[in-house]
Amino acid sequence: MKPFNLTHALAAWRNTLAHRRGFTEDDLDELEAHVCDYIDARCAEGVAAEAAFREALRRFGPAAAVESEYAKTYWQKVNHQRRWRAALYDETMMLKNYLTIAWRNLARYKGYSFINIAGLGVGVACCLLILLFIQDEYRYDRHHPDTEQVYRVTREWLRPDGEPVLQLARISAPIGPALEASFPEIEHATRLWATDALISYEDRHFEENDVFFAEPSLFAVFAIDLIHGDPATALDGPNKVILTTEMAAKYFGDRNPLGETLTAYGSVPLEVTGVMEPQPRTSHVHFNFLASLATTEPWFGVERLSQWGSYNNYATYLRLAPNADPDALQSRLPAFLRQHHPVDNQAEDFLYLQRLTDIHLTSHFDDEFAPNGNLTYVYLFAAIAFFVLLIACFNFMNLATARASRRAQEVGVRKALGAERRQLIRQFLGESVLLAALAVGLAVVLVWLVLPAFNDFTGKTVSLLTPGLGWLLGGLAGVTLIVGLLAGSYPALFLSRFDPARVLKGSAQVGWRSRLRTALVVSQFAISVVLLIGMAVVLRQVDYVQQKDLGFDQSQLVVLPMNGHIRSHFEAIRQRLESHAAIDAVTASRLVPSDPLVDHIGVLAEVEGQQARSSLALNPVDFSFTETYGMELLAGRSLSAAIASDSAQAVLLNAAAVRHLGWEAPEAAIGQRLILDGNTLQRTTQVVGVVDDFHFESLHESISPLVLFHLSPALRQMTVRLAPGRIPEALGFLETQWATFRPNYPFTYEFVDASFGQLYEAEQRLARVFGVFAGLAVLIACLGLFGLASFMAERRRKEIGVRLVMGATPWQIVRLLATEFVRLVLWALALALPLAYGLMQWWLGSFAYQMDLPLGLFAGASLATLAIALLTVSYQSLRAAFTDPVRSLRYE
Amino acid sequence: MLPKTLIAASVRPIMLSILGRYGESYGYAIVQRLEALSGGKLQWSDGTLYPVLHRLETEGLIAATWRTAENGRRRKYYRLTPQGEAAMQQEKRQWLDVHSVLTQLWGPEPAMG
Repeated sequence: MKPFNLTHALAAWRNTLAHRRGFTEDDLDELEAHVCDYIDARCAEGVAAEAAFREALRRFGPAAAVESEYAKTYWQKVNHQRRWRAALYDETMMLKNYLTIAWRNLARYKGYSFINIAGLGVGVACCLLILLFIQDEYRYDRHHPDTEQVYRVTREWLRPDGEPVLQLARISAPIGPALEASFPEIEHATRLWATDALISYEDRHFEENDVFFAEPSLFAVFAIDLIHGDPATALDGPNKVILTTEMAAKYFGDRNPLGETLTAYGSVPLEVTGVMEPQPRTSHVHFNFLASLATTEPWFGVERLSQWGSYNNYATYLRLAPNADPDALQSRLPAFLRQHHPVDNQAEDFLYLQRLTDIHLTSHFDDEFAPNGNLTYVYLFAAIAFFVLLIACFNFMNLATARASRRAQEVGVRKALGAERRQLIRQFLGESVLLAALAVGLAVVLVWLVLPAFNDFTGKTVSLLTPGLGWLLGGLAGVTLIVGLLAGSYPALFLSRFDPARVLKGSAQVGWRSRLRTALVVSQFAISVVLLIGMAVVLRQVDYVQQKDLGFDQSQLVVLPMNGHIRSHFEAIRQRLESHAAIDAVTASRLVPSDPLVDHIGVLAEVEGQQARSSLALNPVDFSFTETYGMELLAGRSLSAAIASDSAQAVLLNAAAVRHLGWEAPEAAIGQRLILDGNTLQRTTQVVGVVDDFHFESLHESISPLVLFHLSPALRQMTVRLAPGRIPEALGFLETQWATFRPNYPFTYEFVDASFGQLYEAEQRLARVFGVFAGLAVLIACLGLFGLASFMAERRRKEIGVRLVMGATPWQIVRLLATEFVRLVLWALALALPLAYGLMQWWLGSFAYQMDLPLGLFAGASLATLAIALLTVSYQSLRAAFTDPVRSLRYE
Repeated sequence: MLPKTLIAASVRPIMLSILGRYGESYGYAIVQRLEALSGGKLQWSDGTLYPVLHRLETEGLIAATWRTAENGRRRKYYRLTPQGEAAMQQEKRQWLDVHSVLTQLWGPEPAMG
């Protein structure tokens, strides 16, 4: 007997298992490892190898039983895979079939497919653009850390009758620090004072705007990204300045400017202590220079800096503690303010907290740093986006439904071959989702192409790769699914119900006159009409406000800035300028028309024997103001340099002020005593003249009661009336003169009529947006109508053939086909006109001066829509009417 | 020795629970662990253990990796998947339900009324 050899024994055992077919090599490896492990363990306990081997085999169990267990597992696995594969195969084949059919349908009706996909694509693209715009509008001022905790303090003055006199985004100097000291929930308060300044470095001088003076606490409230410099010290102490990277490059090129010194106003040294990234475009405030607020203290003096009532020049921001309740803080502000500042005799003032992130869309004070966005327009655009998308979707659904109804035969065959209703529904839904996906793909390409022009137009820099990309993709997928499913749902549910036998015999009634379809076409046209009218009304109103007589002659008027030198030598300069033949008249004032009337003054007058106390807008002017502007005097005289008392004891009122104070007629006010009772200005004066009302501000505002008086230190701007036809000559002369009055300053000027035009920029933009989207909406609606018309004509081929054979003229056929669509358009008009009327009345309400809604315009829009619809339909109708009836009847 | 049917019913929760409590392991070690836990009362032929493991693997309750031990032997290591974890919890609830019924039946009579 051979001695026991474990290796051989194991090999032999493995071999017998291998001959059974239930085991794979891996199985054998695993089992052998098990047996070896067992034997090793037993041998280590002192058992002989042979005994251990036999023990292991006994424990292993009979090979046949083990194999059968393995086999059960194996078949379970195989069956599982086989079933899955078979199902997958079926699915793929069906999917392939569905795709083939879908593709053939697309290719066979190229026109419809194009209209269908392009229509939805353009609609989605519009919607996408508007959404990008809106998303951007909501991104303002969100770059600061915990920006929800930051508030701006604003101030409002109310007359005793509750009428707001003045609303300001900036407040007096001492309020910010006092707030921080009084309320522990305010972590930081910081103030900004903004100005324009002449900034010089060596012999280079620039007139700079957006020069801000700030406190070190600004760093704790705003996100300021310092590239060079230390936030702890950069604004700590007077005569320090931080530049943006742009300004650093402008003044110092590539050099690191830290430690260099700039000069402001020709005399104030500013040491460069930092370089910062500019604020992002989506900020309500943009700094070019951030100088230390401490620099300004000696200029203004303690007395002015501790004034609670006036000098509201400091934009004040608060950062609240994370758990602070802004409403609770707000409710304690009135008591806080009264404690420091008693009520003025004319108006009670209030402080308000304004969330930083609300500023861009909802804040429209006269003294904003820059014009803000407009929430109304955001809503309006959102509504337009929604409606354009709605039109496009209706269109898509309409065409998809119409086309699907041709496929009754296909449905019949499928059903006869055993398709379940469920499968048919899935097929139709899948097909329309696929179409929708193609359209959305097209939309993304369109947006990508148009985006540069869109950014140009809106002044934004939005991109498809915005931070909200995931949100956007989700939205697109959502639109695809919703539109696809909705558009597919009607054919899917309706067609899949057909009885195959009747369809195949050709007796099924598949020509349905759908109320849904009628509703869709009607709403499409209704929306288009509203958009068209909207565009026209906005254009006309903007035109109206720009053409309206402002109460003075706004042509040829140029406004130039003044400085101390010009102010103190004004009379001589005026004479010098007026001596030039190209210059008709020269005057000066604090404000010029198109500037907001920010300042108000309390006045006291005796009217009809009673004391009248009120508050009027004021504008300090030079003597020749009313003459230069060509304003009409209703009573009395204008201010005159020749009358000594006019320089301090005479005022002019506008007609609104006369009515406001209570005089019956302009003449009644002449010679009356009027006491000016302001915080910084007290005068006893006499009304010497009344000018007719003129528009100082935009026509959104009604004409404010206004007082004009002479106060030469307050003059800020010079207005020059140029001789007609000699503008270039006059401007050349003014430039040479200015170089001597204001050396180092660049020559800048503005035309009054252009400044007025700029007041309506938002409306002009709105009109253009309306125009573009109304055009697109009409285009999409017409695409849909075109598709539908050709479809209907084709469906009624046989009927038309019979009619022609029976003696109908082609024109009768055209009328037959067109009447149906005209009826739809008329319905749409009936719906749209009242809606448009209401909407436009509401929009016009934002103007104090509005044109009458021209009814002709409504008629015009209606006729245009009708004409466009007829034109769209007539092509198909004519084609149908002039087809040889033999050809359309022969196929039976 | 337990009857075959009971072993067949309990092998699945036992396998899952051994892998769940002691982590990744291979066939031989699992058998050893089972013997130690049951004091030899639970026994079945070692060969039929593997089909059970393979079935659990097909169902996705456990996952396997081949590794080579220090002595050069190739071993297949099994570990619980998240689905396996869930299946184990479910088995546990069901067995505890059975257990609780039986303990109540065999325990002391509850005092009535």
